[in-house]
Amino acid sequence: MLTLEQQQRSLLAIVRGHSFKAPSDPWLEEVQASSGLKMIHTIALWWQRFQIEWQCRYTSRLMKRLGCFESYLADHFSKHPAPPSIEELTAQFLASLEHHEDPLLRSVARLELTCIESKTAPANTTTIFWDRNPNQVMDALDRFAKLPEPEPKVRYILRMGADLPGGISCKRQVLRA
Amino acid sequence: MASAVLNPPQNAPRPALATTYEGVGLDLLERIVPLIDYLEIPPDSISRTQSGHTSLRPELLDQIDSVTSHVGVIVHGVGLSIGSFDRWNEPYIQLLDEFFSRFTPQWHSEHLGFTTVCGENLGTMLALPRTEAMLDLLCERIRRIQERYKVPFLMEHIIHLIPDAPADYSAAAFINEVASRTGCGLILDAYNLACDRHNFGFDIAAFLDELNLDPVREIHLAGGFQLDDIQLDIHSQPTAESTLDLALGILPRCPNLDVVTYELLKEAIPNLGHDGICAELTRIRKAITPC
Repeated sequence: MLTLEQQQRSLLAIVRGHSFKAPSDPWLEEVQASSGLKMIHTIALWWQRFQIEWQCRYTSRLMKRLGCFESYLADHFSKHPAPPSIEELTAQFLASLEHHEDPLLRSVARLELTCIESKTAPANTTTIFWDRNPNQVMDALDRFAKLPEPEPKVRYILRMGADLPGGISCKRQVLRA
Repeated sequence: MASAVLNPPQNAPRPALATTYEGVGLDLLERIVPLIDYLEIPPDSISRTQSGHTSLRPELLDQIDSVTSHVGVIVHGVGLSIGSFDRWNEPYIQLLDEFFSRFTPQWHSEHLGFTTVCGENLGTMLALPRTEAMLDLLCERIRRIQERYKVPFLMEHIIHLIPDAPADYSAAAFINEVASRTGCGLILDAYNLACDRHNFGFDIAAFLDELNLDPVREIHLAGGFQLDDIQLDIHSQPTAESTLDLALGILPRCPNLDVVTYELLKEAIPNLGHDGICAELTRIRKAITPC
């Protein structure tokens, strides 16, 4: 019979999908074959999706429009163990989008991450580049309306920081050919 | 800060009615307070983590403070992980310390489960093996909790998603041992029982016949949904009629029952709506109030 430590370490590895050599034990074999184990994974992902939708409202809405929300979420949480706090969970998720191929998604995720970070610590000034008007983007996501199109040869420079008047500034810049 | 003494609400009916409040907004709080006797506060849900340190959100404590002249407070945690073989979750204890430095709840409670192993989060809560070794560990920790906080401590059984580990006790006998060895109170969760009955044919009648119902101070109600024919312990719906009927059958058998709590998650609020939540509280109040 397994010790309590062996039981719990084995369950952790099974539930979290860690590679490990399970002790030979009929109960652990039963756990691994159970439908409930699959359900635990489903529930965990469901919770994480709930938290991301709740805390990262704009990013999750945009990802749904791009059709990548569910697949990205499943892939992300299969690779990263869920941190204990919601703040860390959402910050980790938003930070993971820093190099996403979609420039608008990068910008929206960075904006939400900066907002979250600014609640917990006075951040240095953050600069976020946009290929279209960020006000119109956020308004469209807020109202589930059509997103504005990217503006050719234009970028918007959004700066956020405690030292800026009102904490935020945005400038439209025409790029040279 | 001196600890405020919160007396139970004057003239509270028995059983009294409580519901979960996770700090989602004063507008909801103002709607539900006239309908209930106690707020159930989950410390984990009103906390935030800054630079690795978890603490209660002061603005939410202020919200709770603003209604304590009208309702009592009970505390119900999910993050203690009292059954982890290595250690319980110390940050949760810090949250409790912080809460108790400002409020004195009627009681506080936790689940007979574990959520972390060696500090790593399972992402779910799993049931404890019903063994002598677990009883020793559990009872020693309950006694430490009881010494630390001078209000009653209640334990709640949880649902089972994976097969039970080899056991020395039946489900009811294990809980009886926990209660008799420590003097802790109990929460009976009618929805958890309904989930276990649906998911693996749990014999609720036999469980209740074997369980000593004297320590039961609180009964939980909730509603959830099914996924792949598994009833999930996710409090997102009004209480099913069958769950309410189950609870109503248990109520008269619990001589020391004080509170019935309708539990819901903040994530469910947009779907249920404030009107829906108020209607559910009114419905439960009517059902549990003796004619």
